[in-house]
Amino acid sequence: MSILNTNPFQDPRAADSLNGKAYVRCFSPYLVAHLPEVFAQGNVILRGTIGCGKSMILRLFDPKVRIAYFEEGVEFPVPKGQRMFIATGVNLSKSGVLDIVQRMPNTATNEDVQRLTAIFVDYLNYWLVNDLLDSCERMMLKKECFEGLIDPTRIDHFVAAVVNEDCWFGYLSECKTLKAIRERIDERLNHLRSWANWNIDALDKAVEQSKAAIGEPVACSVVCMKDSGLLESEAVAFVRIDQVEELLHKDPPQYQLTEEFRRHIYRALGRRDGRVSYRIGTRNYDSEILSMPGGRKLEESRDYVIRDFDAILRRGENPKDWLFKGFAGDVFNHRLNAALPDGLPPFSSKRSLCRQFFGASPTPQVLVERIIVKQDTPVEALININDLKAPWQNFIRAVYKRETGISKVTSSGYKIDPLNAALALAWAKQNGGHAGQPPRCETDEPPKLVSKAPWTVWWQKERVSHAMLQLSASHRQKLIWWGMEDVLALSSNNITLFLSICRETWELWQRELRSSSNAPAFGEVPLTVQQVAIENISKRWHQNLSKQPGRPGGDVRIRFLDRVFADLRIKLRKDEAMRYPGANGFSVLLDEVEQFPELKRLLDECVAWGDLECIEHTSKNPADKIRGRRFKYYANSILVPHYQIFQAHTKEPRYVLPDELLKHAISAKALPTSAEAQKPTSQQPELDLGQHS
Amino acid sequence: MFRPSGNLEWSLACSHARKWHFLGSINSELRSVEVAKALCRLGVMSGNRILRIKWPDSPFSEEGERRTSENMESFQKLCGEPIILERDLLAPVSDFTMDAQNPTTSAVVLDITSMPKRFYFYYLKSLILNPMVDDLFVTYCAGRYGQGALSSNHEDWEVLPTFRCSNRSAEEEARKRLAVNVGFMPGGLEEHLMTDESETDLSLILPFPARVSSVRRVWKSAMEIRNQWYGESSSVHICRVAPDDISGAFDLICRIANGNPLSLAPFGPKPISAAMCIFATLTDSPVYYAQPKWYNPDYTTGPDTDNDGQPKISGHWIKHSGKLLYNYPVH
Repeated sequence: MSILNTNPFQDPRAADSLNGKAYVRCFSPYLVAHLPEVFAQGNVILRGTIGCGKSMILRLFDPKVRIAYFEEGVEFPVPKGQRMFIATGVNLSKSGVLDIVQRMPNTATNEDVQRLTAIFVDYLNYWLVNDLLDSCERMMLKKECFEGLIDPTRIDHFVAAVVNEDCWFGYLSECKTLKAIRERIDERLNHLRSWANWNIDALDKAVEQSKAAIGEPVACSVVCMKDSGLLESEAVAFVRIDQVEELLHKDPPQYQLTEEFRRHIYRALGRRDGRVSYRIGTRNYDSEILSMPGGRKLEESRDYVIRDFDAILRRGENPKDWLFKGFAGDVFNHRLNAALPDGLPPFSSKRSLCRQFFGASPTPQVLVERIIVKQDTPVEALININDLKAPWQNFIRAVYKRETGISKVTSSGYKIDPLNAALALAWAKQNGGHAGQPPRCETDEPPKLVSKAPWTVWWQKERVSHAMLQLSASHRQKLIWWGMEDVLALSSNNITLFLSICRETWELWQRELRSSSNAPAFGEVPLTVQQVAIENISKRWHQNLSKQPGRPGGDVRIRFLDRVFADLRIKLRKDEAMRYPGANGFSVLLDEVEQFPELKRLLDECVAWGDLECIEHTSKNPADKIRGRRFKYYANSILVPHYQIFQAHTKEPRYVLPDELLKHAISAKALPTSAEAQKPTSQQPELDLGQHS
Repeated sequence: MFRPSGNLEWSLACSHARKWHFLGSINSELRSVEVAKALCRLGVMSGNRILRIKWPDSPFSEEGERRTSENMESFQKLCGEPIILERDLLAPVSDFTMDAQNPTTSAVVLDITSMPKRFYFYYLKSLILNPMVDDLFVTYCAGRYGQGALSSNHEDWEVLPTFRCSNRSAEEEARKRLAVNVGFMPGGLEEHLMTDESETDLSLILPFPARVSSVRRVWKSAMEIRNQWYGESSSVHICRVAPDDISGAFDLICRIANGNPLSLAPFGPKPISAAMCIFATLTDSPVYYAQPKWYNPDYTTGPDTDNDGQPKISGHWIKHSGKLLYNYPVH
């Protein structure tokens, strides 16, 4: 294989969809060390948006994956001390277990709800036991791959013990072999499926009379495996329940039922007997942890811990701690090595292939030179200086022509300085943080030409992106992105997104290489190729996100976001004083948005599906101290090129009232006009932040 | 086997005259009342049940309700008082299990023109399996489709109610091969293909011949579906069948299945979807769909018409005198 005829990122889905050899070669173990709780005893709720790498990690529980590692001669990536485990799992969506909801009578009584819940629990119990036995059989067939974890010679002892357990209520008493147990369980599961799908009218008496409490059959089976010597006594048993968010989706009256289902799942987590450890997979819904039947509520840290993949991978205050950067680089290396087994073409160093491929992202100065190519562009075409007094106009013209001490010498010989001129205009239009005072351009003289920039480094840093947006818009050019830093930032800490950018870039690069007369060599992809690839991927993900389901669906959510971010872009363009350089996102008070349940649901759904990123933040508005929690929202970074805003999350986002969002939702036909029925009572001033210098 | 189908009057005339129990759905589409009106004019309707969907609250609800009421009035004027079955779009099956039971006669017309799939798939299956129904006749009035997004806000990719394989391992097998009835809006299917690796073989059934504008839109959908396919290019198969040919579509699906398990995704013209329903009923095959919750009131702007300006209504015999005209050949 050469770099010309293969694309290592052809399937941009994370390794969760790859099988056997391909998984082993593509899987990056980078995150395993950072998620010690996942492979340790105890219950863990794993949260994260689609494509964040959650399922990829959970696949390590699959015995088929462990066998593949053994057969490929590759070290199993789970730390040695945590490899003694067996696992079982159910995906609530794919298993059909939720078909039971179709049996809910129109006017359901409490008794109906309890009966259907008991059947749901039964279905879940038998599914989990079936999957556990399936794992066990696979492990027995390839026991050499499991480092003494399983002893197939003890299978008869296990069978003899397990069938007599009380949890079956005699249902398995006739079974003498593992095969017979599995057939009996299969019969029950198919019977339950048929009933849930209205193919039969009634459940068998044998089924009706042998329903157990949630988690009991799987826990008993694990204990029997250990007691009989089939399974190493120190082994941990993991029970995965995926797509629990499906239980949040049903509308009334089904919600009454799915809420009861959730309570029973929480009951399984709340057992505290250590026989099995649950792994609950869910998207990023901020759902309430309901009380278990009996009234007790699960306690975080005691009954479970939450691992939020999006939060783990998000860049914090210290860039060195940014896990996603290392993760993406490692995934890049694995993909390349998997696709090019004969080795890569020569390249300068083996360190950070990813950086060599994408190169460095542009500095603001380089970016401005790429966007405003014609150096004879008059300042008036880019910056609105007409309403300034003559001295300030002259000052900004001088900055533009690089005639002041503000402009630094460039190696490119670029003759104009639009970026500093735009910043100078903003400086002129601010008032230095003196509320109610006129702007500097009306009260002060402009700085002397020989002076250095009158603003601080931080003031400038916070406004450079904003200035770039205004300049590109005035020049009728698009904002552009390239280089490693931009690719990582636009990937939104989502590995599938990162792989999508890699795939598109590689594909366009191949086309370029084919038409080139030089020998193909691995190295930095031309920035024009990267620009186009990023633009294409942004557009494609805008389409992809609009095709996601949900309540409301992706098309509805994206229509809403299109309005919101188009409006924010207009406001950013008009804000010549750059008072709100953080207004590429918005912030709302939780108490206020909760007055509009449909709007709240719309925002929650946007976050759960990864259209929006949501982070709680401390309000800079003193009045908010008594008004409760505040959340800021930003578009998924990959949408930033499509919306032509900037990605950096600096300064405060735009503080908005819910009715501003409601108006967008209604005009985008994302919510019916009835959603506007209630009006908020409090009047919230727009935050005044930008005038400090 | 000869399965008479074609123009409504011609198809009905293929057998002796009889009185029909009518099961249809009236909504905001003008075409939703055309079949009922035609049967009333012919004087062959003996009783009726009209499904009226309660749509989830949406920006289109008000306009949709207004037009639905107008269509209901239009039905009343010609056909008398309807027996209305009011159902939530996402109602559990328990709400509508009896809808197709105990018809007033043993001959039933099921008008699928404006009926959501999650209802007519169940109704058609029940009527096929009901030994009390001797004659089963499916009708469809073609429409002139609106522009832009016809539907939106779809649910997750899921089996249509009651269309899951009764056997788990059979369903896993069936999921490897998917036959898609391609329509204008593949919402849900693309996302499924993007995130699920179950399918290794994909058959795209395109309605053809059809209007040029429809062909263009369907090919656009097919391209969008293809773009989300990460399997081998050679495992995508394109097949064509006329959009109003239930019989031809059924035979095509049988050929695609070729004796092997197959899963189905009805996103295109309703008659082709009806063929998928018949196939699934006979073979216990799973049917997947992503139910849109909002429909554009201009989903269709009126019935499609023939050269004489009459609505294009097709009728299809499914059962005749107690005999089911469809069977899956033994391989």
